[in-house]
Order: sequence, then C-alpha cells, then structure tokens
Amino acid sequence: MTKARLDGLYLLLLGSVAFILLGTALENAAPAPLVDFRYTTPHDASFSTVTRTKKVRCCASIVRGEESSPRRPRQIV
Amino acid sequence: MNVTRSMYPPTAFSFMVPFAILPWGPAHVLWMALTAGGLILASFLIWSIGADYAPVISGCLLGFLLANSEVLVIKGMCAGIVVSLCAVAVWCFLRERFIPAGMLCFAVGLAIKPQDTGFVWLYFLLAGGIYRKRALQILLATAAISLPGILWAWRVSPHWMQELYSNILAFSVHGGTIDPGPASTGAHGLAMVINLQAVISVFRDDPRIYNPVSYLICALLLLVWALVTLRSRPSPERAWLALAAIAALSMLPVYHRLYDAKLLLLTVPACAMLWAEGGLTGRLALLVNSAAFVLTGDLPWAFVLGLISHLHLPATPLCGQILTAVQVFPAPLILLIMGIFYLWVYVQRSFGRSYIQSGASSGD
Repeated sequence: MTKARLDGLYLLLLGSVAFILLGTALENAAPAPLVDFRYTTPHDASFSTVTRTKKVRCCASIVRGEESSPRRPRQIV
Repeated sequence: MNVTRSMYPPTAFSFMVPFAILPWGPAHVLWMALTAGGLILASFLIWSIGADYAPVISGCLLGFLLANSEVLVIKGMCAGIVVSLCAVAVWCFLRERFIPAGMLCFAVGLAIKPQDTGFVWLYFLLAGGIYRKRALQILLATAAISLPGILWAWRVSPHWMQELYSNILAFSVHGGTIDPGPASTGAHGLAMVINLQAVISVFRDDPRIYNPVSYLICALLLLVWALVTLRSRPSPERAWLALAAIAALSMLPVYHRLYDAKLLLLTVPACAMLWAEGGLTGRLALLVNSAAFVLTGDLPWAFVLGLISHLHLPATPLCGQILTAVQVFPAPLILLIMGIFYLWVYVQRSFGRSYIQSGASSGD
C-alpha cells in the first residue's frame, strides 16, 4: 500500500471514529427522536411519548435545531 | 392516546417487521449497528474506488461525510441503512463482484425508500446492456421482497392506500411537519428539508407555485441526464459521472431531508477521477464537492443554527429574510449546482471530442 493510500485510509478511519463516538454520545444524550419507531398523530396534543419529560424535550430541541417553545408539536418523518 | 402513523409504504414492512418483533433493546442496538456499520462499510467501499485516482482526497471527503452523519444515528432514520445498501450495491455492480449480494442490497433499499434509490436504479435501467439486465432483476427481487408486506397490509387494512395518503396529507398541510415552506413546523433545523420546493417557497409560499416550478427545473435536468444515459455507451468513468449527477439531482424534486443527502458519497469517485486528471475541471470538482459536503454536513449546521439562535438581531423584515435565506438556501442550491456541474461533465465526456474520436476509431 502506497503512502498516499495509507493517508487516505487514516482520514477515513478518523471520520469513522468521529462518527461512532459523536453519534453514540449524542444519541445517549438525546434518546428521544427514534421517530421512525414511535410516533403519534400531529393532532394529538400530547403528541409524542418522547417529548413529555423536560430533559428530553430540551435535548431533542437542541438536536433538531428548533426553538425552545414550538408553536405546535413537531415530528420529523 | 398514542397511535402509530406509518409514512413508509408496506413494501418496507418485510425489512422492518423483524425489528418490530424483537424486544425494544435488541432491536434498537441492531438498528443502530446496521446504520453505523452500513455507512462505514459503504464509505470504505466507495473509498476503494476513489483511491485508484486520488486516495487522500477520497479519504478526506468520505471521512468528513462520516464525521458529519450523526443525525442518522441520533434519529435512527431509515436513510442511513438505505444509502448504505445503495452504495454497496453500486460498488458490487461497477466492480463486478458479489453481484447477487449487490442485487439483494439494492432491492431492499428500493423497497424501503424508493425516493432515495429510485434514480440510481434508473441509471442502471437506462444504461443498457448488462446494467439493464441487473436493473430488471433488482425490480423482480424488490417485488418478491415487498409482496408479503403488501399482502399483509391489504389483509389487515384494505384501505391502506387511502390511509397512507391521508397520513401524508396530514403532515403536508400548510405549516405541517413536511410542508417545505417557511411556515413549516418541521422543515427547518438540523434535519431540514432540502428539496427545491424549500427555496422557491421562500419567494411564494404556495404549493401551486413552488411544486410546478421545482418539477419543471428538475424535469429539464433529469431529461438531459436520461437522454445522455440512453444514447451514450456505458463505461465505468461515465457511470460514476452519471451517478454523481443523479445523486445530487435526485434530492431536489421530491421530499428529502439533510440526512438523505448522505447519498452524495456516490459523487466521491467522480470527484477523485476529475481531480486526478488535473486542470480547471478537477479543481472545480473538488470545490463543488467540498462545498456540498460542508453545506449538507451535520456539524457545520449544528454550529450555524446554534449561533443563529444566540444572535440578538433587530426584528425587521429584512433581517428575517436574511436569516431565512441563510438557513434555507444553501443545501438545496449547492445540490443544484453540484447536479448541474456533474451533468455538464457527463454530457461533455459522453458527446465531446474524446467520445467522437473513440467512436470513429471503433467504427461507430
């Protein structure tokens, strides 16, 4: 393997490590938005099982890049 | 009361039901492992092709793409698995290795999210020869995989088509979560909508305007792409250019979000190839790819959106318009630029001087 290929491989490995570490850390920090599995009607006021606790609502808002007081329940599909 | 509203067609059930049968813990871990492992495997396979031309550039681009794909893991979106399956299948076909595995991957991806993989499949159908045969085999495999889910849906819910349609309508209403317009409650933020409608709706927030305009722009570009693919002889070089163009353009006509843009990993071999050739086209390819990877990356957007939320700006209409433009325009517009750039190179390489010379020498 040439030096250039090895360098390219290292960069790819670096990206993979960042992806796994950051992804796992953020997923554990905001375990809410597994929306493909669990979600509810947008007309339901309680809307989502995952937005009922303050902590999770806060984390989910940060992850989604939303403002802190949504006008109505939100759902990414 | 919590109810489940599926936004996916029943063709996806054959893949999803096994996860639903498992307890939550193992299903969660398995899904995450498939999402992360699949994307890493797909990136390594695509890098192995780009590395034949420019290994460091390919590693840099794909490493950056991977490091900016956290939303796929955080949200557990299907797109991570579908993009990975599609990239693995493309690698199998263009490297001519593990063809049955590639067909299975493509068929599963097509069954789960046809809007992500459909145009890539269309390339193989239009390219002709052995690729067309593969595309038709994939279609058969997709039908076979989808049939149990469709039959089950018809049995338990005979009106599933109307129900699915009403689900989509419920989310698409003005201000709804998949409404691309500025009033949408879910089209912005870190998982923003990136189809062209999002840009046009800023000027006129009316689906009777932004939908036809988006369709017209995309139809023109896709028509050129389809005609070139039909009329040119397939080669690995042209295949990667065609796939680079369609990976970007396929995001624009219908509903897609930022995490769907991970399909741009298919553009890396074309970029590496053009960069290795040198010249202005190579430099432009790297510039376009770098801009596209940054503007569809999770971390740059997390930083920018975090910064915007902490800015103390005057509440003037102009300020609001600038803020909207900064958040809505970059991703769809860079996809449009990238699609046009690779389409231009694809047309040049298919009907330019080199094609005519090679055609003359081979007696065409």
